[in-house]
Amino acid sequence: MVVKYKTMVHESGLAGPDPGSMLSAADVAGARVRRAGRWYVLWLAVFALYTVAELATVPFWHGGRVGVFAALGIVVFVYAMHAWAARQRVRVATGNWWVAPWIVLNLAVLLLVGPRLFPGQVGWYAVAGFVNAAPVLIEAVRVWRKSR
Amino acid sequence: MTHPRHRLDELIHTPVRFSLMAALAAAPQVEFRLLRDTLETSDSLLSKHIGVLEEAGYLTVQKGHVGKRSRTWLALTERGRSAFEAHYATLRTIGGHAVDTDSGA
Repeated sequence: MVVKYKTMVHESGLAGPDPGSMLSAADVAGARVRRAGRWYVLWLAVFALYTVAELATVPFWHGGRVGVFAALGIVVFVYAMHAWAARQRVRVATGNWWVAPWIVLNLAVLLLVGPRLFPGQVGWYAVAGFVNAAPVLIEAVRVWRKSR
Repeated sequence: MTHPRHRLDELIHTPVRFSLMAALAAAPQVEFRLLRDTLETSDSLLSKHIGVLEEAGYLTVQKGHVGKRSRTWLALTERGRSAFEAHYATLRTIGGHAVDTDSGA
């Protein structure tokens, strides 16, 4: 959308670009940049989905070969997410507040609660995955609302 | 000097520069090509405006690489953000006083 500028003359005799046109063009430019920042919402959604998938498959991580594949999967995922973020044309304002709760929940599920209280229970790990993904999804909703 | 036009910042009061500031105000950092496409201007014209605003301390320019591709990132400074917000508010005030020549007033 191209915004055309009208020339205005104010009561004072000041001539120049019409303030209304300038404000409209500025609002359009700001909105386009905000929309371009929505990639981060999708990024967070993918991260949340990965969290659920990771935890839901933990009961199947038996044996050295599966462990190696799981570890490789994590490395590839982290690299792909980093590359995806690096290629974006807008850097989004985020406090990254969700990272610490995500790490604490993830470690608690993987190292403490899961192995001790619910070993091998796929359903429990899947629910734990959604709980672990909650901070990420909350951030995704927050960013989405700001980008509108 | 009570008319709000006296509060207008001449450095920002061109359509491209004002829209550039508005685009930068919408995100912490924006890449040069997105700004060029958003403002529908040429590389050289945009660079010229960026140079003026950078010299005024309104924005910062950061160059980097993604793979083999060079990228130029721009961000508003605190001073630039304040100047933009003040200019935006002033234009809104003037907009209320304006007489549109198209209406024959």
